[in-house]
Amino acid sequence: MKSNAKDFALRLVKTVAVPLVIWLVMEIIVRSATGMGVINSTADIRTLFRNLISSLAFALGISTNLNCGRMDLSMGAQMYAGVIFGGNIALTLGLGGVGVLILSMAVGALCGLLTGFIFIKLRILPMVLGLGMTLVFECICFAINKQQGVTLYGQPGVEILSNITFIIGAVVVIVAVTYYLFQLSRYGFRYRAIQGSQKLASDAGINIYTNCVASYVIAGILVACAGVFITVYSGTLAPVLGMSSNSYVFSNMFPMVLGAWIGTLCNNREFGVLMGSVGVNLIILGLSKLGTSSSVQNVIIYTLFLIFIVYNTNKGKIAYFRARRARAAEASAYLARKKQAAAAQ
Amino acid sequence: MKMNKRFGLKVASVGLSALILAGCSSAPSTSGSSGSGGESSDGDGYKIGVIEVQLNDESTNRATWFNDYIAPKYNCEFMFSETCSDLDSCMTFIENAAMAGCDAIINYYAVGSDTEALVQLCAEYGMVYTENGGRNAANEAVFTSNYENFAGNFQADQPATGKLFYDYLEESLDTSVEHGFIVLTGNAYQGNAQQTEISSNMLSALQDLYGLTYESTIADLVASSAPIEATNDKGIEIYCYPGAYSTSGWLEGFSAALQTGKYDYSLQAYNCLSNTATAIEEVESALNKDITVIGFGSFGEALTTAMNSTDMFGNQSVSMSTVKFTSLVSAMAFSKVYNCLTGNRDACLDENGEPSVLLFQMEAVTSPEQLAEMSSWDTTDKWVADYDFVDSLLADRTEGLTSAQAQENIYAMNYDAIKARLG
Repeated sequence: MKSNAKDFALRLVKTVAVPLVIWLVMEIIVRSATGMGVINSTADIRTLFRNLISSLAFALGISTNLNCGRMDLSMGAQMYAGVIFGGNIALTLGLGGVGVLILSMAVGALCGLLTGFIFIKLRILPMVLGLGMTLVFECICFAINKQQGVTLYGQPGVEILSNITFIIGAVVVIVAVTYYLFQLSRYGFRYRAIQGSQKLASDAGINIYTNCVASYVIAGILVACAGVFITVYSGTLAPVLGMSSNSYVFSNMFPMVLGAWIGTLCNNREFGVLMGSVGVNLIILGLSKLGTSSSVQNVIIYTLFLIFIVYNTNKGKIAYFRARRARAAEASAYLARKKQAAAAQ
Repeated sequence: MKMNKRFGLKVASVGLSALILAGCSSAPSTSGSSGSGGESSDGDGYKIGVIEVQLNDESTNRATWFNDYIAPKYNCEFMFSETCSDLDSCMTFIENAAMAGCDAIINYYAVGSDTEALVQLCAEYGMVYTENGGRNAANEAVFTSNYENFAGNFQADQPATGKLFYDYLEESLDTSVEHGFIVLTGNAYQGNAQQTEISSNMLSALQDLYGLTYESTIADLVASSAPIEATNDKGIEIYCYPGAYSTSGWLEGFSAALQTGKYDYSLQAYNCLSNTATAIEEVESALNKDITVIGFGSFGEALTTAMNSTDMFGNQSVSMSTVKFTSLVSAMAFSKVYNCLTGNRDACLDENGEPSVLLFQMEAVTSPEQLAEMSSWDTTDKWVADYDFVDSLLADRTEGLTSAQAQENIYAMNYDAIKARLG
């Protein structure tokens, strides 16, 4: 019992240590350069949490399909469709911020359902299907509401989406619900079996198609949720064409990959992605405080992402070389001792 | 049971598709649409392609004016592009327009260095060409090379637009109180003429009002692609912040700059009033500091909301903005191509015999009442550019029309003249 608690505490410390170290590094850099900290006011806290919830939800959405080998590139477009359709319907009905969030997630779910259904019926490569669906969703978003997208700025009742308590509550709900879904529910058990081996799971009687469609639906809900908080901050979400919506998928890959790695430290993917999102958003906030231009920020973020990917991919090799060096050192020491012994004789 | 589930899934997917398609078909769209040719045809029928750079309130209004107002009267048909944001997409649209039988192209995607390629392409297909832009070093050759199909350009009188901001700052700024300014220069660093002119005028206004001297030139400050402090001998805090809100990290950077507490004026050379509003409100609330917003805008939901909402100090969210009348600008574009198509290209040339650039002046708006009044003007029943005005720009309806006269007619259509006519 005691060792379990100790183990839990150790894992918790390891998990929280990553964003904490990131914050510390950024704090030192920012403070020495500007004399201010990474977080200075309530505006910073709101910005951090709002960005956190959007990257957390998006990263979880990406990982939902990616963990089973399906890279769905249409998630950015699903986000646009969810927010533009759901947002406009909710605003027309006067449902306020919560209505915008719920209806956007509902439309996101429908988009995910459509994509998942087409995938299992046509068995097109997920990435290719994603590209096709991106174009379809982007064009649909473009065709409605006179190409105006959705404007949340100044709309009655929408201010709740910027309320810090509401955002923190939403973060807790997302982490709790996804934890239940992926770790404790029947869907989650099957999902993890499929993640291990799709064929074995199918042979064992799991309906891999239903699970696949459900994963697409969950991903659609999550990205639409992310989109609502992105739109609240920027005021509007204008439709885009030419697969520009994909930029959201790629910009949320870093928190997802970092989160997946942190998740291995605490055996909890959802909490890991949360910490990964906190870490990446602290870097972004810190760089903003330094007054760097958006392009420089992107260069730094993507370079860090690349370095992390290189490390993560090669960590096995690093461990192998470290072990080999230790063995070589041990052998050298043994030989030296033997030589010494021979010399002494 | 399994069968039922499968059937249910199919029904749900088909239903969704039908719902989405129904949503699309019922929505009005400018893209790819074309106006029907006229009831009264007192001219040859012409088909004109319009290249749109963005689709918003303005482009929808423009399409309505062209399709419903101009097409029947002048026996023209219009074909609109989707968003064209680079040379390739413009060229593809022009090729498609040529195949569809277009006689002319009006281009709202203006990049000086691309103009000649587009003029040449139109020349290959025998199409007249005009674009929403000025005359500058990048497109100078087009004006001097005597392309028969080039009708010249049309654009906002950029110095006059910049001066609106200059004048407003001169009128409203109390220099005896300490102020700090963040200037959003937008894409001025990429050579956007309008944003360059507005940013420069804003910085010039501050220079004159405070009698300060910048360490760098205004041109260098405006052309900077990275955020830069406009350091000056009077120690006034002025910060130039370039880029667009849609870029990752831009809003966070803007918010971070405001949170330094140095700036209480946000001067926006780029149309981002609704996009910066939340960040500004949050900083106002966090620092308990009133931030005045003066920015470029256009008729539409964003400006109306911004003008009609107040911040936590009870002040208007946007103190001053600019607007333009879509039909007025569209009339300039139409007159350019129509004069060429009707064999009156001389009316598109300046006194040197080179294609002219027609200019229009924007108007400043400072109150919700003024905005409401002006918004009501350029609509279906009350176009600012009515038939009389359009005729005054067409050589086959105004005898002996020259480009200079057309320019005079455009300048005469100012706020006072419009108010007198439309009330």
